[in-house]
Amino acid sequence: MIDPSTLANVILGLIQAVLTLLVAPLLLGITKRVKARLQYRNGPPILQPYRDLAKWWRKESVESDAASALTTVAPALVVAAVFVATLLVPIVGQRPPLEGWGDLLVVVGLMALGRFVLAVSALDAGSAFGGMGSSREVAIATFVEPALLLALVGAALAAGSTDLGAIAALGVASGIAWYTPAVLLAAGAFAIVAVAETGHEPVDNPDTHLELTMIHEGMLLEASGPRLAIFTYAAELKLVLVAGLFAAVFLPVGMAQDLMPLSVLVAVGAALAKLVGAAVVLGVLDASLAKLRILALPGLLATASIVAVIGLATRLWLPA
Amino acid sequence: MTIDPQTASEIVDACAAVIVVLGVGLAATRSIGRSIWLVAIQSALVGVAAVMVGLATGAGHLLIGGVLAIGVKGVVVPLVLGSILRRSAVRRERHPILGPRASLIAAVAIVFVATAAADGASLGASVAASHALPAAIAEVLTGLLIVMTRRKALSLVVGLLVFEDGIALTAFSLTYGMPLVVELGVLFDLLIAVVVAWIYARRMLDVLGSTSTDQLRSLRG
Amino acid sequence: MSIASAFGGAGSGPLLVAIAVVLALATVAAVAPRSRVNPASLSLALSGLACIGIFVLGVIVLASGTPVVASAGDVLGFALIDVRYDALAALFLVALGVAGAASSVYGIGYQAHGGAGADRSAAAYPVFLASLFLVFGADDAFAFLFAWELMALSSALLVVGSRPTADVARAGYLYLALTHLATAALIVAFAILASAAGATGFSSFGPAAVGLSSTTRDVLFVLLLVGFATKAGAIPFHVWLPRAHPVAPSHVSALMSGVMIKVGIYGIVRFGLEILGPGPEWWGLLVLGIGVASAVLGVLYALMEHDLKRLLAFHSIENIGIILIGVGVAILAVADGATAVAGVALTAALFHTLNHALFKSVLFLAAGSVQSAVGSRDLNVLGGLARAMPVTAIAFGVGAAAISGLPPLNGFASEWLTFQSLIGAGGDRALSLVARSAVLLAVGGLGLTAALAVACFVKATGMTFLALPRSRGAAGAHETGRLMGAAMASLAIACIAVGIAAGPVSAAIGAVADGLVGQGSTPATAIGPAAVGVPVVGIDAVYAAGRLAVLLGGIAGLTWLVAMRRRTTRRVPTWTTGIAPEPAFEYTATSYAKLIRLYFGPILRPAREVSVELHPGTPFPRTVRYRGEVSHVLDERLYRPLHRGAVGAAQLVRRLQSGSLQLYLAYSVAALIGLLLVARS
Repeated sequence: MIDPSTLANVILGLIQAVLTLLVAPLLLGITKRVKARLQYRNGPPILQPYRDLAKWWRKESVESDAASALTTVAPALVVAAVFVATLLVPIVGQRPPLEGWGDLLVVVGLMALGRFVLAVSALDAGSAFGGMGSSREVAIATFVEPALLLALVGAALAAGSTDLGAIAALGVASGIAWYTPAVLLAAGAFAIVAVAETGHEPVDNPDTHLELTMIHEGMLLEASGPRLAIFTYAAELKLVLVAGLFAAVFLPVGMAQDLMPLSVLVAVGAALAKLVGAAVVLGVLDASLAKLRILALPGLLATASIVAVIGLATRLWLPA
Repeated sequence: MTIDPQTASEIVDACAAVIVVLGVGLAATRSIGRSIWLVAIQSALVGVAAVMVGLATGAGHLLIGGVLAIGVKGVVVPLVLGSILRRSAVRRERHPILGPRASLIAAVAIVFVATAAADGASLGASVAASHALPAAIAEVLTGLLIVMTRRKALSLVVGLLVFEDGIALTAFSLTYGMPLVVELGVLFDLLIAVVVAWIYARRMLDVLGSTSTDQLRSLRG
Repeated sequence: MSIASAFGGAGSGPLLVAIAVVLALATVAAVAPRSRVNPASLSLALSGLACIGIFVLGVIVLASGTPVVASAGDVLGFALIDVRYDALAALFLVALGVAGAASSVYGIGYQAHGGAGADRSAAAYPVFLASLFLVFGADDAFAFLFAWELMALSSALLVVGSRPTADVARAGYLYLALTHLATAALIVAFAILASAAGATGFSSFGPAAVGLSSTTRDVLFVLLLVGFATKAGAIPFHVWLPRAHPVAPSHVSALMSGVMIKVGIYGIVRFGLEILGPGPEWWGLLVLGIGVASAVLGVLYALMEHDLKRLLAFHSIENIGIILIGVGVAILAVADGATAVAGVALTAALFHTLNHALFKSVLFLAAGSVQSAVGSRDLNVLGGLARAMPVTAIAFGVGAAAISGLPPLNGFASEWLTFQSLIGAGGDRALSLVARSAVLLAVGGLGLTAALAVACFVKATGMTFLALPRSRGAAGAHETGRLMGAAMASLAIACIAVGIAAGPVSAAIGAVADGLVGQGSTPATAIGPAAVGVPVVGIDAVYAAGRLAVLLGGIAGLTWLVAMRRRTTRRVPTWTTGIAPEPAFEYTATSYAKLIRLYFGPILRPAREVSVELHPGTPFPRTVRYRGEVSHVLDERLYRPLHRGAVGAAQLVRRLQSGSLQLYLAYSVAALIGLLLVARS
């Protein structure tokens, strides 16, 4: 007989997986729509990303003749890394679908894996734009990753573990008391990092077609057909991952602890609300902010690190 | 075969006295041939002293060491040095750093210093303790004096031999001599040193035409 | 298990002797006259065999748990060499065995292809292996120093080779100078310990160290740290590493980077942690600081390099930094009695030692293949080698992913453990606030290192193997010989295997760390078939390496099948605005690192010089010359002044030298008389 809590976890996990897979392109659509509306345009339909994916999937796959076998394999690796990472984050249930398979460090590691494969494959075609996007992406990541880790470590210290399920559980149990100054500062740092990781203003312009200003788009420039579809889908999943990570650590409300239909519904609703909220916020940022000069980016991201460090210091040095 | 310690002690004292006189003579002489003779006799006397101590105490290795010393340092080495001397044109130390009179004064001063030093040194229970130790120290210092003040390569080798003799004498006047292994080692060292000196002297003769070490100036950083 | 216990203890004596004999044979074989069998190949083959024996010995000791003790006194009648291979030494033996075997096999292929090492200096290779074998087990100060010196001399000979150029000679000279500084520090430290203990055996050092005054213990720690950190290549003692490693033949570089610098780590753990015992907190903080500095600066300088092997050499500095972070946290935690955290930290450090031996070896061997195929190590002339050299490319790619700390490979497992130990230390209330703050800042430092490592290896892999070849040499490259390929492939497979089996491996290493740090502190346990678990002050955090690897592979494979199944891919030239694509359109290594060079400008202080030569009488450029370089701050600010000072002092002393033999003798006599006077009083 299967242990009921494990069964609950498996089913909640399946629900989360399906939700993630279905909802990811929708979030991109919402972002674009919000941005357009704020710019007094109508903007593309919210479901447009689904159509784009389908369109690219049907198209022919064209590859550079300078490319190696890596080009064929890279998209699969990237999307696998991001998807497995989402399965390690509790979004619907209080415990992550792959409970006991990895903690927040593994999530960060999987994000790094995705970045590595994408950056290397961008160099494969031998085009200057791929190199440009790749070198910028890894350079920005050098400031993003310490900030990300420092922000998350604060929460881990509060929970006594780096396991995301444990952090979420503690967050739920503490209620309002969870939001100590340390946690708030960490949330702020994470928010800045989230913008960088998902490639939105002011770090990167996702709509730019000027090759000289591309970061993420630059790495995808040589991809076509199904490979482009997979890469774009992976970027959409990344948004779910980052938003879900933020929600699990800093907004742990409404997550289901069992299989009661009501709590499941509430959980799904809360998850959707959080994800859509993140998409809306990113859309607002896209419309309001201009892209920072690339040499000014370390300033912004180092600020995130400093905020996170202040949060940690607050945790350590202030009494209790 | 053993000898009564008293007799042995007397013979050793006599040797020590002659050694001191020979040392002063070595410091004063300018003729290289004569100094080779003197050092040969000196080494033989050191060997004899060692044999005496060995016979008196029954320490076998001293006997062997002493006989070897007489043979190697008293006969073989001087022969080798003599052969070099015959090949080279130089027979005298023309311009030593210290003149003969100054060397003589220095040698005598060394004897006084050695006696003073030996009085202060703690003496082990040895048959040859009383007079051999000052002679030994004097010999060591005389050897160093010769090395420091002569220019010709052969004179340097003679000084080295005197120095070695002094060390050997110190060794068995303070203790029952050095272990046989060490003695043999030192003897072999000496032999090698002399062979090397022979090679060098020939080379110097071929290249420089003289065995004066004034020409050797490039040993510097 | 039963066979292992049967072998453990008394039974391993023959194995020890066998290893020694085989290595001796290998040395002799290298200087044997050329016959039907190439002497260098025979020597390398025998060395490889000995390495397999070393590996087996290490595994036996780890499995049986009993140390192997031997004394050359039994054989020669007087005790000259005392050896004791306990669990800690056995770990390093495993690394030595694997890396050594692969390097030897590679070496056979390498010099058959005309690579360096086919001359008489190849005899130093088995001597080098023997000295490494001895140094990990030496149980006596003299034996240790003897092995240490032998290691330095044989590796210097291997680095310099038979006919060195001026640059190579200088690199070897610097290496010897610095390693002897380290030896000096060690000799002083051992002398202090030996005089306190009254004996030179390491087993007597431990009890003796307890009774020393705290100032003496501080001095001892600093001396030992200086000595071993220099050997390990930690900043600021690293200057010899990037000069010496690139010029050595590849299999020697692999061994030097993979195993020799780990002797420094072995020394710090053995002496700083085990023999000296718990000390004040600042010991651990010092090691932690050196670790973070080495990690960050190492990888930053690596990014700026476009010589492939120099890049790898700087990466060794970075990984030594990561290992030292773990060791530092262990020493720190032991100082405050937090044995749980210390156990995790030490496990992380030792695990990373093993992993680094694996992936750095594969990277160096692959770099050597590239160098012998193309004729250059310069990233700016490589490119497009993935199609011509697939085995090398895949091996390098696996090594690159492993060293960048990407799951599910082995580098990530040990970095994960390091992070856990840092976070655990940060949360442990037994440590002082300063220590906890330092440790948490180190989390940021380690994160920075990891991101920079990703950047560096994306650059290295991309520039070397992808896109179009940038030179004729690169265009004409062929895959290397089968032996070299086999060596690289086996190491790459080992990286993957250790990554997936991270659970059992870290459990075994945890048991070793347990013994060094205190009982009952093994928190790194295998949970399930392939997972590493760590209780960090409360709830378990788990990294299920095997399951994740399977899932990742499964999803990736499924996606690839679904996407590419029925497709024919059309291959067209890259669009480069209508011009035929050529290598000049690609990013070079220098340009790839440019943004990071700008971002970290204050540390790197880049300088550049652009000169343009025009066609005479016209405004059109004929040639553009670009020269950019990064100044190595420590070289400029620390070592050059030291060098100038040393030379100046030597010039002063030179005045005492007149060249006159008699004067020198007078100096000796004066010294003798002085000594006599001192002795009398």
